[in-house]
Amino acid sequence: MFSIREFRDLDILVKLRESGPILSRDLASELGADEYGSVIGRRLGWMRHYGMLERNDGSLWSLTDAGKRVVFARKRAALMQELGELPEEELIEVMAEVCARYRLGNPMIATMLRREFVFGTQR
Amino acid sequence: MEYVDLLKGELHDLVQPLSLKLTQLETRIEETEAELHELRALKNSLTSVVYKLDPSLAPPPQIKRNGGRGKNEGQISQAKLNEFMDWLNRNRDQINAGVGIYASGLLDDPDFTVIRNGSSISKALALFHERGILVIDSVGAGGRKNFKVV
Repeated sequence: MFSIREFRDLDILVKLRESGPILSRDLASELGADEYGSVIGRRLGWMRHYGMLERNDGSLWSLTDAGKRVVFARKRAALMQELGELPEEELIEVMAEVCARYRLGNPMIATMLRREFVFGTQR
Repeated sequence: MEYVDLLKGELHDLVQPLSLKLTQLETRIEETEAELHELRALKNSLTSVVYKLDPSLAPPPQIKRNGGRGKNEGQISQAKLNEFMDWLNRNRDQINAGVGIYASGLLDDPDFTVIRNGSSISKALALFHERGILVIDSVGAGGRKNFKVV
């Protein structure tokens, strides 16, 4: 249920922003899982590994500073409109810029970009 | 009882030639299908050889749009998407204060008039989710996704 092909990282980050520090069991329940299992734990574990989440001594999960920056980053409406109106051919250049950021930028963001691609293309 | 047995015997005699014909037809169909199968296999192998010898004869590869998931944005007009987006912005607080929105809920809501087709609503929600406009808040019974506005 908590595969990256179903839930984007952003879904879970936003949920944690709303809930504040939370036990994985409670998070699974809030996300609608019928029963608590290790699946959500594995997903959260990977997100911690990539630097989006952290877990304190009481096993409460919360956003890292980098995770907070992603969640609170608001897209500029004008930019989104401009992107939406771009001819498909010009998206190649946009993708090239994204790829450059993927290679040279923050590793956590690079990982999120890769996972977004997996989610968006289901590949 | 003798009369009934006699009738059964007569009916059996009447049906027998038809039954024989049916068996013959089934046999003929099986033989034809086997022949068709062989012909198709032969055609495929010949086609493969021809395309290898002259690749210009091969048809261009078909590209699956949107990863082959069937989420073709083109099926919903941009005007409708913009209208839906405006509706989301207007109702953001109300949506986020409740359980969120989901396709069947919007379809059942008489006040939601932007799109009146369940499949199109689902596609639009999935598209907004991909674009980060909506997030999955929870998954309900039967895998129903409840979305909230970012």
